[in-house]
Amino acid sequence: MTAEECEFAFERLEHAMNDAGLAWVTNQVAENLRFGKTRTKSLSVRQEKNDIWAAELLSEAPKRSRVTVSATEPYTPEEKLRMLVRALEQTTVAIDRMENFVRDRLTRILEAKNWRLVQLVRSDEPDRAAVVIEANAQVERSQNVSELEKLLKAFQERI
Amino acid sequence: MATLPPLPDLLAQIQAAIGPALLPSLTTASAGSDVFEAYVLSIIMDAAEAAGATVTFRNVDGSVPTIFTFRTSPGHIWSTAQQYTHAEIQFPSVPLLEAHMGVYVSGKSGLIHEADILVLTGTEGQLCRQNLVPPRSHKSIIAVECKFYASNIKIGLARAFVGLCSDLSSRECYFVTNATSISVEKLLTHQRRKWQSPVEPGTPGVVERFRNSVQDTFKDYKTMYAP
Repeated sequence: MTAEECEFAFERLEHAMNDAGLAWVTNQVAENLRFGKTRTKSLSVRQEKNDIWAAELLSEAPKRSRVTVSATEPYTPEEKLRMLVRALEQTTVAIDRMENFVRDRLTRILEAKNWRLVQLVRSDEPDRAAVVIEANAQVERSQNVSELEKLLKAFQERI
Repeated sequence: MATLPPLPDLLAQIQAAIGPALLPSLTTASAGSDVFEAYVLSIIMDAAEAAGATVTFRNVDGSVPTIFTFRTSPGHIWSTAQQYTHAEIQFPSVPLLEAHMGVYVSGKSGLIHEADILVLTGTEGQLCRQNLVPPRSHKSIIAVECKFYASNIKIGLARAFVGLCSDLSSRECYFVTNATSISVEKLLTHQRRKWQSPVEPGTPGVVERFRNSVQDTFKDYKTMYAP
């Protein structure tokens, strides 16, 4: 994919995610992109003043030395797109797998065989409904997740 | 080999597939964190079972739940605002342990902190419920800070964790996240803090490493009571 295609795809995907209610995801990605990626840089610097004074006393020329510093640089269009796709994967595919894991473990634990559901309650957001994991897997949604996963895989091959 | 559809078509297909694949409540960041915390608790249960424990569940009033209610924003361990559930971890011939989600815990300084997951002794849990006090961190063997991020996590979260650990005297404090960040990993490693990332079902090796690490903590706990 060219840089222009990556930028086009990023914009389309970001828009689609916002429309689906995933603005919190695209915001997290945007924040990371604004910060940039951390890199180390090697710089050539003059010695400290005290060292120069000591060197002058010894009639030596001030030396330069190399130091490593941390810096940031912008992500490339390809990196930006990959970050957005991973974010989408985490909030759809990974979350579905996590739910399934919780469901499987609870079902396996002896006394939890007759469980109905798990509700994850947040008292600090009283207006928000509890997140619910039901004992019976939501087959239709899992199939939809698998479909999306395939599409994202195909998309990543294109990047 | 099948040919891939043109880019705009592929993007349109992805766009159409996002909505039906979403957990309905996942329109806020906190919903993702909630599922992640339950996932991490399940891994801890897994580790306990692998270490030879029997795991059961109890509500705050002692009843056996069929609906499990876990709190994902911090609350007091004794709270009866809802029938909050916790896990009981019983190793043979060793005092009972309890695993809680989203509870307050008091640190060395006497300050009260939040623990996403806390594994503590059963006697401490009982004491706290009877006296309406938060558990003392030195009576806990595992404290976990869970961070679910769709993108890279920020260094500030690791800094906060380092500060938290300095006041908690839990046997082990873990920073567990689904995301990755070299800066976070470097800071936590430099500060000799335990971290695991990216913990998610797509990275079985990392999940296994976390499970083994928790299992080691349980092993040490059992050894303390060995005859």
